[in-house]
Amino acid sequence: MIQGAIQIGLMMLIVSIVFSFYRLAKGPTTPDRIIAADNIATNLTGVLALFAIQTGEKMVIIAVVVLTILSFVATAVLAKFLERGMIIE
Amino acid sequence: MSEFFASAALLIGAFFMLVASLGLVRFPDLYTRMHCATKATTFGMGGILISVALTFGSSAVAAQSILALFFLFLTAPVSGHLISRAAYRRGPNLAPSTTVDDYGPYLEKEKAIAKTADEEKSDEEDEAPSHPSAGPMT
Repeated sequence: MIQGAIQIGLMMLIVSIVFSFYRLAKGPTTPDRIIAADNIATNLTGVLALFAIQTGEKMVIIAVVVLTILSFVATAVLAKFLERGMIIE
Repeated sequence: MSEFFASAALLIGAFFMLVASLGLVRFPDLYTRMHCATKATTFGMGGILISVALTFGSSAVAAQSILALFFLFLTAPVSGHLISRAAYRRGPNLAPSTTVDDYGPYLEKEKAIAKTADEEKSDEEDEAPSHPSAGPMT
């Protein structure tokens, strides 16, 4: 049962990544693109978690933790760059 | 039974992530897009990570996935707030259907306070001239 749910969930996540890529390509302003990139990163962590369930690989969950923190740092740094024009003052 | 709950949580989480991306495409405004991309995506990842914790069942993997969930719940609202604040300060491209804008008057007031502070500082500098590089921070 869980295998079928994983297949359906992976399809949903792939469609969601395609929508985010549409916003990343079209987005009128730069913050729109940053939000789309952040959404793609979160969706990729979801894909990685589904991969961990499907294969039973336990180490992938650590990669999920690391990717979560890394995507937050990237978004925060880009927001600061947009606001101040520099990253390290 | 645990497998059933894991499948249900997984499907709910993936559905909410799909809905979040649909909102990212359909909403008219940066701020509404930020709203759906941070809230619904966080909820969807919550469902998926709970499904991971239920499937593996061992305490180590469950603790790691709960840790990832904790970090996500901690960081997603902060990043959404940072992005929307930076976007508003660059120039508020509000949608025409916006009815309430609370941050605009607040930002005007803040700018006025900063301007008067700068004027007072420049008056003091006129009285006692310091080295030429001193000036308002940009």
